[in-house]
Amino acid sequence: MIRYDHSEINEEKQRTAYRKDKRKPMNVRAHTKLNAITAMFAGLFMFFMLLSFDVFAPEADKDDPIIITIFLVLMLGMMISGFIWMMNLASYKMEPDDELSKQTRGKANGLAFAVWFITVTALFFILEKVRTGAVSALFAQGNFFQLEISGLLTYDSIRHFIFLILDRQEMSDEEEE
Amino acid sequence: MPELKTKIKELRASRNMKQGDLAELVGVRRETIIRLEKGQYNPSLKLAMDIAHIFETTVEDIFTFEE
Repeated sequence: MIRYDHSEINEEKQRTAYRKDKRKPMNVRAHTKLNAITAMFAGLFMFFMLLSFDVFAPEADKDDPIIITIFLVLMLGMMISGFIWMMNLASYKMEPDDELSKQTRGKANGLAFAVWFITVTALFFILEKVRTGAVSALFAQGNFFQLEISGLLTYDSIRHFIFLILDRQEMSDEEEE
Repeated sequence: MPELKTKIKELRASRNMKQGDLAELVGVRRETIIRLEKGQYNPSLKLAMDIAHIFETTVEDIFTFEE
């Protein structure tokens, strides 16, 4: 009798569920691309919000009712569009990873950390050059959590993009049938 | 370094089977089958056995290593 480990059983279950699912299919590359773009926008949006307030306009009054109203409208808009986005996504079935894509994802995750670390370090150096004290302003107690979330989202985006590049290289001379 | 050679393409052609059909039968992506046929990917034992089972032959008959 062949003994399977848990990941193999899960893979089998996911594949069976995917086959039985009647929704429109979305392949691995398509949903990876979607995740990469979503994480990139969310991460950059958060980072630029931090920059605009804490680096380039530290004197701005965050308790100003106009600024609060603008942010409330923006947040409401984001929540509504996020809800519509999720409803649309729910009409698709996502193709699960197979053994090759899992392996490629592993490689991508490792590479992404190096790329992310170099990019972030370079960005901090440039920021400090443009405006002295920018980095310490970003690391200030109040917004460290936002900075951390922004970093995580950027890393997530980079690892998805690297997966797409590695997967593409491997498929570059693919024969169409 | 030994190079992986497979007979998947020939076996598939003899059965008029497309890469996508084989991928569906063994539960992987079509891209994985493409890489296997090109000898660019060493499959797991389970996948190799599943492919052999589909073609009603042995793993050794499909996959060989050449110097």
